[in-house]
Formats: sequence, structure tokens, C-alpha cells
Amino acid sequence: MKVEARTAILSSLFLTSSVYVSGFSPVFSLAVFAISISVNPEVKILKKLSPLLLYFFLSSLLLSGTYAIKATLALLSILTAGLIVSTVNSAEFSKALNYFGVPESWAFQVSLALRMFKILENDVARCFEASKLESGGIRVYLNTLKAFSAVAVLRSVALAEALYCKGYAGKIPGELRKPGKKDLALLTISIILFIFSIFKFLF
Amino acid sequence: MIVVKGEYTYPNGRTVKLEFEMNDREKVFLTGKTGSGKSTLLRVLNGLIPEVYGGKLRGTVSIYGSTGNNRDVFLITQYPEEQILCETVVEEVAFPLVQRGLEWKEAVEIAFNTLKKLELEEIAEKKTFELSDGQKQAVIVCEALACDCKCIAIDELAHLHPDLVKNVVSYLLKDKRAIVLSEHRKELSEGFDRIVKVAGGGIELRIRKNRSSGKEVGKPLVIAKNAVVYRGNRKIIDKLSFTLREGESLAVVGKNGAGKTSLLRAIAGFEKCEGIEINGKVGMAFQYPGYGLSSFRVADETQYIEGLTLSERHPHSLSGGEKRLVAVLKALKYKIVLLDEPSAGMDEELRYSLVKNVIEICREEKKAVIIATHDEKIPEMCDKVIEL
Repeated sequence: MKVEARTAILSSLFLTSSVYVSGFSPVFSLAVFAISISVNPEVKILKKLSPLLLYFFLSSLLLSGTYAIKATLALLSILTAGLIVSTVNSAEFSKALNYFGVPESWAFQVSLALRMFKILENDVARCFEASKLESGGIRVYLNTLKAFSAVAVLRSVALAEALYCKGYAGKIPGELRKPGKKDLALLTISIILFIFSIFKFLF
Repeated sequence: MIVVKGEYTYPNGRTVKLEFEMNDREKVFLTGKTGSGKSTLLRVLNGLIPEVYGGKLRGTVSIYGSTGNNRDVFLITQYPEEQILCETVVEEVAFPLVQRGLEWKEAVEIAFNTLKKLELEEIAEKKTFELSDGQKQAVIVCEALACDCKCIAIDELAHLHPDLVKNVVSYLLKDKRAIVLSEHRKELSEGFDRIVKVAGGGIELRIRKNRSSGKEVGKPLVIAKNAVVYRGNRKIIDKLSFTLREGESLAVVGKNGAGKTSLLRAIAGFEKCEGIEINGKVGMAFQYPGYGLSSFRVADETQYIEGLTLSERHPHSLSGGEKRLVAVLKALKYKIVLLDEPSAGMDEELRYSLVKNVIEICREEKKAVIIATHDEKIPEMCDKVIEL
């Protein structure tokens, strides 16, 4: 589901806040996880983050078993709620940031950084592939790092060049669309969950 | 009117002489050896030099009565991947228009119309990261055409398929604005008002060869039997069969997005494939050559370079063409050599001399080479050709 940008930002904020405010309640964490996954079933990144989740779980075990489960569930739900924003088009995202008062040039730089993240991720993968062809063991990582460091510096120079060539004047391309019924439903559920979490916190 | 007379010194001390004149609406074909300063000249025209690059620019620079600027001159640089800023094609084409003060709806309408004129409306809604390098370059040409600039400067259209490049060039020639196209392929100069040759530069290619092995064709190194190649979960190539033996060379040709790079990546083991058998270690020169260059000196990257002036330089400090040359020679260390667009960004002499040398080395050292290319002459130099 492609969520409207402003709705995505607000829903993400309400959902993550409800996990915090509820004191990492497993019920709230599971509810947030379920809502977020129904919006964005693309969970490839969670697979990549699984070592971090495992590390977090094992280190939390030092405090107590119950705490480890609660905290890991909370972290998982916060990550998935944050991923709702990843369904949004980057130009629309910067328009939404601008709508909430972030200056236009800053908002565009955020979307540019999000796009660069994908490019740099691809660059690391290509450098890794090239290194794998020529070496083995720890040298693969060392050569990847050496090649990527140079590639990343050149990328930033190229980005500055591209912005200059296109006469960048701090304006954001794209426009905000009106939230649809699904967007409003997501926002309403997120707000209700947030209100419940406040009740849980108070009583 | 554009007048550039003087010289430019890069921050690293390298000096390039500049002499160029151009009338309004004139179509100029810029040619010269690799490293002669064509890219430097184009960067002076749109003000990238000295605005972004720094260094010292001396002499006269008059671009329509002003200094070099990005308002009057739209520059299309060598690597399309580096010029894409937006998520979708239509956003990308509309981006410079929005920066020039147009409303979003108006910019999108112009973007759609320009894409239509170049028969690219099919990719208008596509994500830019899904495009091949050739498609990306075509999108950037659309951006330039959509703008109200006075001159379009193009630093090579090396990533476009020959058919598409001819369409793009003929479209550019019909445009009322001034066009400067820097290209190594002289066959594209037809229809231009003037050919300007930039003097200087050039790389003397001296490759160290081992002549101890025989020249006969040996055992199979790559066997494809009804091979299927995927990009992600999408089937890109279906039922492809060929055998490549020791000492043989194979050219892979096809339109932009046909799957040339995917085939090379599948052979290297980076993409999912069925029906491809590999017997030997694989070396690959990527389309973006920097990925494979991890040493601090060119001399440490490859043993095939002999007395080249670049030997002591950092590989990433080289120009696009020079970097590609080093990446190609580095890949020659291995039994199966995969070259993705090895000739892009090189002058004609260097391009064919390099490919000829690579094929000879592979024959003599019993290696197999696969070259994915848009060049029309390279397939004639190879033993086998596959069209995707």
C-alpha cells in the first residue's frame, strides 16, 4: 500500500510513540507490528536487521527474560512502524516535511539523502562483488572498504555536479496528494492506539 | 555566441589549454583523444569549472555575454548513473524545470511531451533505479531538451544503443538551440555544422604480453545450454546457448535493457541463472570501473601495463576513459574475462587497440573473453557474437 506522505509520517509517529508510552507493553507492540506489516508487507530489511535484533535480545537477557522479550518486541514494532515511511515516494516525503514546517531546501536534502542511501547501498554491493572475484577471507572486506571509500567520495562530488548542472535552486519536485480512505483509516487507528497507550500509562 | 580562449589549471596542477568558439544555434561535434580536455571545455561552458571544481581559469570566457553558467548551458556528463536525482522518470525530467521556476503540473506536462518525442513515454512512470544506463542517459537528454537553455553540451552518449543514439542525435540536430556533442564515434558527426578537434592528450597503450603459450583453441570455459538468467525474480534471458573455449572471444550485443550486463553478472555468479557452467576463475570490468579498483597505485592493479604514464597515480584520480582502461587490464588476470562496455569514453584508436590487445592476450594465454558492447566494430573483431 502506498501511503500518503503526511499520513505516513503522522501514523509512524503515533504508532512508535504508543509503544514508548505504553511502557513497551507486548500487546501494544504486537498491535503496532500487525498494523505496520499490513501497510508495508515488504520486510526484507527486517531480515537484514535480524542480527541486530538477536544481539539486542541476547544483551537484554542480562536484565531478565521477560524484559528481553518485551524490549525486543518493542524494537521490532518500532522498526516496522518506521518502515511505513519507506512506502512513500521521496519527493512526496520532502513535500510533506515542508508541509510540517521544515524549510524547502532542508526537506529536499532529506529526500536526496534517502535516495543516496539506495545508491550507496548499491555501490557497497558492487564493490563487494568486485572484491569477491579477486580475493578471499578478510581481504574481501578490506578491498571493499578501500574501493567504496573512493567511490563514495567521488559520488558526493558527482552529486554536487548533478545538482549544479540541473540548476538546483532549493525547490522540491512533486506534489502532495489528498489522503484516501485507507490513509485516513490508518491515521485513525494509529491515533486511537496512541490514546489507549496514554490511558495505560495513566491508569 | 560562445567564446573560450585561455587555459585552466586543475587544483592538482594539471593545465589544459582551451580554445573554442561557437555561434548561436550552431551544431558542433567535438572530437579528440582520451584525456585531451574535451570534458574540461564542456565544464567551463556551464560553469562547473571553476564554480564547483576550483582551480584557476585564465583568459576569456564569454557564454552569451556572461561567464560559464548552468542557466544557458545544460551539461550532460559522461556517467548517467551519477546525474539521476529523482525517484521516477517523470520527476527526473521535470526536476530542472521546477528549479527554473515552473509549477509542478506545467513541468510534468512538458516532461511527458518531451519523453513522447523521444519515444520514451513507456518508461515515464518507471523508477529511475530500474533503468539501464542507456535508458538513464536517454532520460537526461530529455531533461536537457525540456529546458529553456540556449545550448546543450553533451559529454558522450556512450551508453546508448547505436540505433537510439542515431535517433537522439538526429533529434538534437533538429533542435533550434546550439548543440555541442563530444564523441569519439566519428560516424555520429554527420549533420553537424562543424567538427572541432581538441588537440593534445592521448594514452600510448603498451601492454605487456606473455608469448609462451600456444594459440590453439582449448577446452570449454563457459557453457550455456538453454540458459535462463534472472534479475531479481524477473526472467531477463531465456533459452540462450553458446560454448566459449580457451582462447576464444565472444561479443554480446543488444538494445539498452536487453540483458547484456545481466548475462555477464550471471556468469560472474552475481545473478540467479540456470544452465550456465563455468570452468575457471572469473574477472570482471564493471560498467562503472571504480568498483573494482581497490589499490592505491595503478601499477598495483594490473601487471599488463608497460611504461604507462598513469602507473604511479591513484586509480580513482584518473579520467573516466583511463579508469576503464585500468579496470579492463585488471580483469585480464583471470581465466574468464568479462568486460562490460570496455570502450566507452575512449577515443577510436585507443578503443580498438585495447580490444585487439585483449583478444590477442586471451588467445595467447588461453583465456576466454566476453565483451558486452554497443560498438558496431567490436563484434567483428571477436570470434563469436550473440545478439540479445
